[in-house]
Amino acid sequence: MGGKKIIRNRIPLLLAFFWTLIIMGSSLYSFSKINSNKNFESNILSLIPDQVFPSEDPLLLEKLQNIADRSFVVLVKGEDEIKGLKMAKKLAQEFKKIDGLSLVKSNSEATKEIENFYFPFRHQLLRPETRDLLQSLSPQQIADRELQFIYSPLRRYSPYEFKEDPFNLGGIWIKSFFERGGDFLPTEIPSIEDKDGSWYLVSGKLNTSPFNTGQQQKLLNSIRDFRSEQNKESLQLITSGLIFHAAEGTKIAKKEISTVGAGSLLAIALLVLIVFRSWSSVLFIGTVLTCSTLIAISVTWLFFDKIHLVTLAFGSTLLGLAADYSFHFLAKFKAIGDSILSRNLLLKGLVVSTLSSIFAYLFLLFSPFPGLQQFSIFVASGLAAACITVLIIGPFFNKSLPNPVEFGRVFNSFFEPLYIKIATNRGMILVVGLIVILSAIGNIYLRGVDDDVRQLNTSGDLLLEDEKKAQKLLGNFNKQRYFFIEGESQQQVLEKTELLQHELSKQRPFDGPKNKNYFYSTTTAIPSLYQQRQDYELIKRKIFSEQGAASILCKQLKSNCFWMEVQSKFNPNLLPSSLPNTISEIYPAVDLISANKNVVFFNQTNLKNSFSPSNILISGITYFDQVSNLTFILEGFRKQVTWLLVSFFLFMTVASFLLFGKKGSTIIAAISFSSLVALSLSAGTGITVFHVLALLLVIGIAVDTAVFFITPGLNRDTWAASTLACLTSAIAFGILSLSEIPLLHYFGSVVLLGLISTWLITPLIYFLLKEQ
Amino acid sequence: MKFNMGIVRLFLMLTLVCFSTSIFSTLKDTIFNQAKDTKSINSSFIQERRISVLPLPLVSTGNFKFQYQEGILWETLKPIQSTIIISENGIQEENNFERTEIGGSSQIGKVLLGLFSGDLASLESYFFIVTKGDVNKWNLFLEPKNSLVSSQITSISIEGRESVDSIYLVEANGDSSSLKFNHSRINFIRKDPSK
Repeated sequence: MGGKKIIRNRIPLLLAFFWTLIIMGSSLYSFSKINSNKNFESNILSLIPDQVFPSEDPLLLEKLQNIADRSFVVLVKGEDEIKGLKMAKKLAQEFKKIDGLSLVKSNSEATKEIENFYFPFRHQLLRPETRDLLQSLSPQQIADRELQFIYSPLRRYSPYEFKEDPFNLGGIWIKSFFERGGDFLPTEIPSIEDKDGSWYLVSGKLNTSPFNTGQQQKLLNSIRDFRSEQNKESLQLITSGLIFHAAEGTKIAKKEISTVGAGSLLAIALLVLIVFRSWSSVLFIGTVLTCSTLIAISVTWLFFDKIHLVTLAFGSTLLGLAADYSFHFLAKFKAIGDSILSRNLLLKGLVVSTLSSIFAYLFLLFSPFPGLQQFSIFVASGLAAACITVLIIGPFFNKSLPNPVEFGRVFNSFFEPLYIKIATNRGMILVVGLIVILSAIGNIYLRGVDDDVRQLNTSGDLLLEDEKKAQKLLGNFNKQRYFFIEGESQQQVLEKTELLQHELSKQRPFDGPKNKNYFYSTTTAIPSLYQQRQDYELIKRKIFSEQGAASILCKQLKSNCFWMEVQSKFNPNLLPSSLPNTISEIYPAVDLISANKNVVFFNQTNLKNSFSPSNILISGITYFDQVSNLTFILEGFRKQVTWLLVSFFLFMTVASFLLFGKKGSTIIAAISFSSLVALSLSAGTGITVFHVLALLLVIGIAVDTAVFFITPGLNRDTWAASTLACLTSAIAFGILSLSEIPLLHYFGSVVLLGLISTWLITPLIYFLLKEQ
Repeated sequence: MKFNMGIVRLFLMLTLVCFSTSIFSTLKDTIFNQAKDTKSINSSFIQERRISVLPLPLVSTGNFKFQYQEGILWETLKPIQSTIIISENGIQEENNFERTEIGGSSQIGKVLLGLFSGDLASLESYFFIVTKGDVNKWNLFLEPKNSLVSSQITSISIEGRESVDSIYLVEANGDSSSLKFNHSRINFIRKDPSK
């Protein structure tokens, strides 16, 4: 008997010992991971399901990343042209010092290589606008037009000598390499002019991912140092590139983590000191929160390679939730003065409440968002750890005289009489309740739904403004909309690309001059052999034939033209495989051709509304619109998650009645009312998938509160504990609702409003049903 | 007391260099200040373009107008007709075939505008400038500062008095052009009465 008693007495100690070992193990594991930056993720795109990206082709995906993700541009403007150029040179020098990035070759270096490469092919290459001219003008007109250029005091860009290329066909071909939509000036550092002056272009490529936080830091520090060295008033910088958006996302996520984390911790510490007035209580809650966080981080790392910074920002709300269990325990312990008895009284409520919350969070595992799946594991494991810590460590408090928390008096003196008074007036409650519910439903219906892809955006307004300015100046291609071309051979792919461009030009998808190049396509560097031969024949017929423009020009120049180099034979060697690296750097998609694939982007972003890419029916060509795809997928997710929510609600209804019988209706009424009110008040511009996901948490919290009111029962201690719990969680989610990241904002708002309505309404429902 | 003759020589040379630099920079400033004071110029021009493979120069003639704060109007009359407007906003060229916006990408356009409007800073961003002569007859020799400009232009030599009289341009491919202005009227914004 005595031995059994000793063992029974030692069980709590043994449990505490094992729990301490687990916590120590997870501490060591977490710290080893924290020390390496590689175990954190800042790429916002990794929060989005993989199937969102329509390109199933890994090579295309890699090339798209190479084209879109790793390049960046900084546009520099000084007080005047000279100062601007000097500043741009200085910035380029600073960038050269950074490891892991390379600056795009200057125009002069690249031009020379390109000129030499295209020299043998100069009489078989035509830009569409030059082709149109040669087709429409007579040889006499072509010669007259050329004469205008010869007599003009201005000089055209003409890389080859007059005798080698009298009509400057090579010059026109090469010039468009440096005019991808923008009007770049051939200055030492390329520049572009707008109405306010010259912008100098410093562009580069990253050798690593733009989401590498170390690389982001190096680039941003370099720009910051450069800014501080220069005269701030005259210097203007515009940045463009994914790395700047990624860096901003990282910065915001880190800010959210520290704000939500520090805010919650401070609020919890202050509340504990004010309400419980003992350092041992602060230490107890501190221990619970530390154990909870350590387990949450370790378990997440066990399931996922990397923890996303947004998970941590979301997860910092765990502090507010984990503190709830401690409050319930401390309030009960203060009331009865016996820690073991308090644990026993709270056991059922604590376990049921924790399990309901864990279920609520684990339901997020069914959501298609990897970020939310990670968040669910993080919080569910953290909550489990918090509950276990309270149950194991709580009983170690020494017995003391009952001293209920003063704060609970408010319940007895004000709230309880008020709730009882209101509960007696059932007719009025029914009417008011119905009005609130109907208004909420009406408002939700009126607000409708919002599946805008911008919900996933993490960039601030300033950065987006910069991006817009840069796109306007550079005339860059739109990376979200493109045609993907596949064929059986490289030449077939090129021919299909040319056919597509021809069809697109006929449809004129943009408002603007007819001869402007609206597409970013590899055929700008490498036309098909068929097109080359066609152009060769056209040049031969209109320029180099006996009656051609060349002989007319010679007569006009009063020369026998013995010096003029005749058009050589057609050269069949201009093939994708023969292109030098300089050209692949300008058109990275060129490498796709070796795999019989190609991609065509639009050079501008504003497509005409009347333009319909589905009208283009060429086999092997698919149109991708990432923006509408994302919107469509978000809509699908929203519907999917709504069904998830309905199932969770039904599950909780059944579970509540099974566990608590009739009293379970308190839980059902609380979750229904809180969810409707929270959703209605936070609907804003429409219900998003993140609103619906947040409702899962509102249900979990409402269940939590209602369960403690059923067991051990609503009294000053449980009310005080619930109020404190609500306050700390409200602070955490309240801070989150101020987030600049739309999805965090929606999440924070819904949960905050759900918390407040749960706190206000659950006691009333309790008294209403009790009276019955 | 013994003088170190080496130091004395070095000192004298430095003084001479500083003094002469000061004189040249003054002449350059004077030339460009004078250009800045020019309100308008009306003149005719003769352009002789020598293309290495052609035995005879290609001669063209026409009218040239410069207006303060507006820019240059270059009108070729013979043997072809064309009009070019060069201003801060860019370059517009109109001939029998088309009207094109060149968008400021022509170095020659920038040189012409810089010279006639007295924009020394703009010219110095692309060229090293050597000045010779005096205020009554000066010569500017422009050499490209960067490889991109030098791949097109080898040098530009400009002669002038009250304003630019002639420009001689040597292109990188060996071709050259000479532009001679015959000013019929030059109006200044303000004239120093002491001169």
